[in-house]
Amino acid sequence: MILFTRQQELKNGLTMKFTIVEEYCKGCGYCITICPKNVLKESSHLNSKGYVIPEILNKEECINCKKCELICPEMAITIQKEEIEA
Amino acid sequence: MIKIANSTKDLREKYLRKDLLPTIFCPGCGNGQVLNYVIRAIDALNISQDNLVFVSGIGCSSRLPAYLEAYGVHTTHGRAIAYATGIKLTNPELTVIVFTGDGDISAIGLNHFLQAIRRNISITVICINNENYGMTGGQVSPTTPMGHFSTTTPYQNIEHSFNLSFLAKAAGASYVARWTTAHSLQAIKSIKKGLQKQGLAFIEMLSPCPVSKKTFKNTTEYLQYYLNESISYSPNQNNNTSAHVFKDLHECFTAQYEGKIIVGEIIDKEKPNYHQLYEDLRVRARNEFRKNK
Repeated sequence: MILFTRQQELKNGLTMKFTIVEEYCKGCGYCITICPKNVLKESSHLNSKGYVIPEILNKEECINCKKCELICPEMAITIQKEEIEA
Repeated sequence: MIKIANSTKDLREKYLRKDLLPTIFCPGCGNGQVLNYVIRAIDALNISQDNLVFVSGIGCSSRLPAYLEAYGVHTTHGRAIAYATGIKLTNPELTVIVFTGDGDISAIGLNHFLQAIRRNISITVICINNENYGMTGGQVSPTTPMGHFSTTTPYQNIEHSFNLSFLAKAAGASYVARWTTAHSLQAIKSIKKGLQKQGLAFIEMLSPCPVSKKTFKNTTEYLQYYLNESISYSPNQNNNTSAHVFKDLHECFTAQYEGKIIVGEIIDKEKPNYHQLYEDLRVRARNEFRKNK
């Protein structure tokens, strides 16, 4: 098994794919507070129930710690590795 | 380090009832987070959904079994542990998890809780402690800290509060852990340990209540408070370097009076459970009966 550092992964063209289910989000802001790299940010976009949903600010900074996935009360965030299409 | 096996999307589709999502809880409520942790713990242990029973009483936290794709019993106020005892004794093969709130377990159902600990029935009790009666509008509960405001104590609470984890320890529980909803990985680890435990495992989850609890107004303030103000009690750890780890209970309680939150694995011990003892009794009684015949 070969372990890559985040820098090497970025060089190899790996980035994180964020999936936020907008309808489940209640805008509590836990994911924004817990993120150690400030990847997530409060957006100006509202979902159908009127909650402010987070937006992804800088995808490349994400270190895949999955803290936002763990803290989300609605299990609305999913992070997966994806390859950038060259 | 806990390995996160499946993606959140897979877990959500496997364990949650899609027709009821999103959950009914207020924005920032800790119940959803506890549900998240429990699902991850169950998934890591590969427990079959056919052998899972969730039992709950009355309260916000007691709505959780409704969202899970497993057997669920929504019972009367405070009697969740009594029902769980019955289910476990009827079929010891089942994994029984009790979701309960602090008003449920520490006020009306305290006796059932203590008796279940005394008998050491192997069920996992997860208490989501938001320090008030959140569903009915934020009345004072036995776990509301002294000096806090609530709907029924507008001039501060003058009663001393229960610390449920230490109450369970004193009663003789075989596994007790106390975490806040901000401690995700620790909580998952404790729930996993509790599910594997042969005996009563009690996990207390301190939870925010952004609507009814008068401590903070913002949801993120609760998260910051839990992350910054919690101190760990670990009697077995030989780490003297960290300022957040206390080995001595006296130090812990002194810190608690200064506004800190005690978290950690309070106790982890082996103790014969009711089912083992009952099985032994059954064999012994049958042998003696045959001898006398």
